[in-house]
Amino acid sequence: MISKFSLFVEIGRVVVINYGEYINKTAVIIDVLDQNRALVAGPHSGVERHIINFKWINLTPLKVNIQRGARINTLIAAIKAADLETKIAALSAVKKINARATKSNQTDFERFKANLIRRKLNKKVSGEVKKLVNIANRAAHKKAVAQKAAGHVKKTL
Amino acid sequence: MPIHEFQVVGRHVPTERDANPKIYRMRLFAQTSIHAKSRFWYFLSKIVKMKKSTGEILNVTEIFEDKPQKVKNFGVFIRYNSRSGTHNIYKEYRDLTRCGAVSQMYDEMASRHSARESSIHIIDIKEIAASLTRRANTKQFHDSKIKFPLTHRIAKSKSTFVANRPNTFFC
Repeated sequence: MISKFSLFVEIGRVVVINYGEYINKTAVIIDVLDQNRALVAGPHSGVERHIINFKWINLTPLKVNIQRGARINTLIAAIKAADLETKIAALSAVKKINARATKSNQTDFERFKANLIRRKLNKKVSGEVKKLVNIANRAAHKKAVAQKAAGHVKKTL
Repeated sequence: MPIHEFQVVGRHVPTERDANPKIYRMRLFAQTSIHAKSRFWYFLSKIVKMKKSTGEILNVTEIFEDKPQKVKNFGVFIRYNSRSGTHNIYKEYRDLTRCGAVSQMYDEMASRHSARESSIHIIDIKEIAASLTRRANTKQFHDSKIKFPLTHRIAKSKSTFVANRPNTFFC
């Protein structure tokens, strides 16, 4: 069977929770209750073992090697064996979450410093862009002048 | 309001004729202990010639699930009054607790059969081994290698308007 999906709900799948008490935390699917809910737990991120609706989670490409209904110590061992925390930190979704959290936790002074850095950077970028634009404009001008001269020659002949 | 399971023990008030009346015990699902007592008298009055004013309640205890972190299969036997008659039904649910299974049952009876809680009598609820389940929808989740995608889903947003078109396709 050819499928356009690459992420599936299955035992051991790592998920990011996007709603409710554990928003923005990651957890592992331990068992599937029915077509709407799963039993998840995340001892590495403080998520308690509880039932969650599939609408509250997003799947990730990561998977842990556990049996269905695994107990907490088994899950902890599997997470350690898979070096899961390192892999989770590398996920783009998690990076985005962390970046957003960092930004919203900034103090006024930190935001001010970031603003100065950004302005300095944009000034440099604008300078480079202006140089390139001038080069392009000069080239276009030369071309136009050459075409004009060629036109004159034709008329004379 | 979440459902709890209660054990209610009661008997007839002692009288001259019967100084030691028989004691009855019932396990009930109710939102509160008050509701549980009410249901106790309702059901008991159908079985024994007794009612609230002629009896007394000796004890009300909430019953908690033994292993609430393990997924189980529950079979629920109920009788309910539909618009045209009375029916006996057997239903199966997967959940962590008996109360969870009963909650699912009430939700489903309300949506599929327009049967409210007041017209449903729970005859029995049993935890069932996976091999003994009968419904296909329950059996399909017994596969330890179960695998299915989450197709079209709309994520909740706290804002009325957002700058970006929402992504509903996660593959």
